Amino acid sequence: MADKTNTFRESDLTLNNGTTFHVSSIFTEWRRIGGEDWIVASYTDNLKEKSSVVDLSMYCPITIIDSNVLSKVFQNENNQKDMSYYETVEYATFLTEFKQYCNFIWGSYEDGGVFIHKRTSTQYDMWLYNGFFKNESTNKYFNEIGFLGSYTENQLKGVVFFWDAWSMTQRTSWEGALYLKMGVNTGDTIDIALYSASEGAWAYRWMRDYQDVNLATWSVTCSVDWERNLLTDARFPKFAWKDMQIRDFFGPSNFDNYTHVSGSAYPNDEIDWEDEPYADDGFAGDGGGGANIDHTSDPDDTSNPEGMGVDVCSTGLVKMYNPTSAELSSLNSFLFSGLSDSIANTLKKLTSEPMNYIISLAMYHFSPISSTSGNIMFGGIDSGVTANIINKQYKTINCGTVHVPTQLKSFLDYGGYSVINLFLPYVGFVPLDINECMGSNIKVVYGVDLLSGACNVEVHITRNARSSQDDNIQRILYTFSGNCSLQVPMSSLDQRGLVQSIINVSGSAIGGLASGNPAGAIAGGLSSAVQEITTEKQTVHRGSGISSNIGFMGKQKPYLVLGRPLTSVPVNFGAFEGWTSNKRMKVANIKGYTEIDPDTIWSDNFGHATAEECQMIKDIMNKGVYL
Amino acid sequence: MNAKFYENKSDSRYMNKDISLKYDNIPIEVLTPASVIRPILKVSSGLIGQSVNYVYVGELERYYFIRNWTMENGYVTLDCEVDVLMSFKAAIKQQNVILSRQEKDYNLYQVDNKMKLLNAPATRVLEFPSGFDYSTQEFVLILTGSAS
Repeated sequence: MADKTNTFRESDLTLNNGTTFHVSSIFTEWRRIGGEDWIVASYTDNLKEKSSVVDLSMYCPITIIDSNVLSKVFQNENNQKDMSYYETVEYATFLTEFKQYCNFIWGSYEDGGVFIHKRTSTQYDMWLYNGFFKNESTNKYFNEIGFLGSYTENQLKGVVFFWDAWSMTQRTSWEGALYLKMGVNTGDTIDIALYSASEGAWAYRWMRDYQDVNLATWSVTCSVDWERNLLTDARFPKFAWKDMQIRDFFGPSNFDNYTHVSGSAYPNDEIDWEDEPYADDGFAGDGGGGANIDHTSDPDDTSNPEGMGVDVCSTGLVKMYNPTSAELSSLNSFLFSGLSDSIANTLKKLTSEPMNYIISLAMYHFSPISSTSGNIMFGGIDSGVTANIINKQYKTINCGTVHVPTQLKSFLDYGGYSVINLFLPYVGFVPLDINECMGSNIKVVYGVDLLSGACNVEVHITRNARSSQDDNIQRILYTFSGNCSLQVPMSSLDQRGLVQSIINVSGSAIGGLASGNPAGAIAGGLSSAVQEITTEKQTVHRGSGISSNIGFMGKQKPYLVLGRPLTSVPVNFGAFEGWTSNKRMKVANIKGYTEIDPDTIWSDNFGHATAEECQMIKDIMNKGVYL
Repeated sequence: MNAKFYENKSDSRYMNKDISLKYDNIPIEVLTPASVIRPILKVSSGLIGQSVNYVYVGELERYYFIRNWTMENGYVTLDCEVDVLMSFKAAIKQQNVILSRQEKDYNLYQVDNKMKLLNAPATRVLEFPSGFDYSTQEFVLILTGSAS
């Protein structure tokens, strides 16, 4: 495959400790395969050529448990670094050492996940691991582990970044290898690349935040075989990429568009997810619903009236001109000139009133589409005034796209707490559904009919599925109408009609409402000292209809008004009050402040505890304990 | 019956208490009628000091908070209450539970009744990159069909 040029997306990344890094990426394409999103990073043939170059600073076959094992594996009998030495020791030995050195922060030994390995008292490695693979013929186990690099204990506190991270293997028979490369380069840039190497294909799957995805900024190139190879790769951790819970390290707001927050899978969960109806990979049953959702995205359905092949302009029964002010002045002189005009035209004007040929005269804040010019003709009367001829009845005004970013990355970003209104020129303020808009790309397109001045406004929402139970959206979800022309009355009758139409429009109750839920929306546990609900409690009318002549004087670009609450959260709130969870876990795997749901079905087997002691246990666990 | 006396520095809500053994294998008497949940222990006053606030009674297989001391006639009477978290820790850890709130495993997209908000919401305006052009004023004159 030919060399590909990387496209970098750069942004600033502020970590928990206040450090700001300039982030770049080697992703250049996004694809959807089998309903799942894949980010494929580009690569060059140069990298393949380097497979014969055993430079482990560039490539990471697998790394194992500690530096001693690492060096042993990667060095052959001649003490040369050799990528073929990738098979581990026997299973029992491996497992013992593995468990001794590693602390899983997500996942498990069998299914893969993310764990920490302490190299020294000050250095820790974070590893991406995809579980065990047993070679039946050789009875050896080799574990595909991605080495992510190391960071110091100080950096570990609320910060996740790596340096000297390693990249992928070149082995074409390397099924199931998974690697995450996150490196802090010189100049304080971070490369974030997540990938799998299989049969020589280079495919990358990115951890993404279902709540806030802007994949339009990512793009990749790939080989023609990579899709087939990926789909046959059977060694991916079940939930590694979709459900990786890495907030423990990243913190709620560290990697704005890079981290992933899962709503389903959690570390060390012992539930068999394969059969869970609402699990990401679970089976929903014949009754439908749940995880069996086809996430194939909708096609882009933005309409384009400008693209219509036939309109009134093509009939000849109507003629549309785009005169300048000077040309209109000349036209005025023609229409109302007296006998000093040519005799022929004078006679014609006397017999057929030119004014009767005028349908309308209007002004617009855009340029109509015209490609030719000609004299303005009133019936058979040539005015002698040349003007541009409009050859398209419809005009499309694309106002562009705005991304609505999540801010709090919590329920507060959504309905009942945040609100969103959209100002549309010639329409006014209109409310949108914050649940549809949050984290979405919103595109506004006007379709204008020059014959009447009527405009059809389409609000196009693009959003990726937020979970396995959600769908991608790429569709017009709102349409509004108005009139974007300034009508110039040509008679007193026209003026009366115009004024009346303006009155009718401005009197209509079109308002952008910023209304929050009533105070009772959040039940219980509320302090009356501080208002705890929503951004605004009263209904606010942001305006009335502003179509036509009124709108002509107003703002000409749409804009969104986003209202969201500000939180008052003490430091370490989670350590004293915890955060909402609703997850099922084994108590042995829980760490930190914990409140157990009162609806938990407890096993009554608490060893030798009496019935009253059992109730005491349940009560205290419900109220909150530190595990 | 013997007991171990500790100094406990942890809050009662901690499952793993930070306890320091102060007196080991101290003979005690459990006053009757005895409650396994709130026993009253009697100890010779010279055997333990007042630094202890926590006790393990092996025969009862339980840890207890010492809620109150009473000294009389050379004996110390201890009002105790069972620490169910420490006493049954192993069994509790085997339970599969549903978390309502947790420090590390959470989902912020669930409504949180404990979240306090300021009565000063933030407003943000996001303008679209383009639209109509205020500086552009173009006339459109529409006439009925005319001979070209």
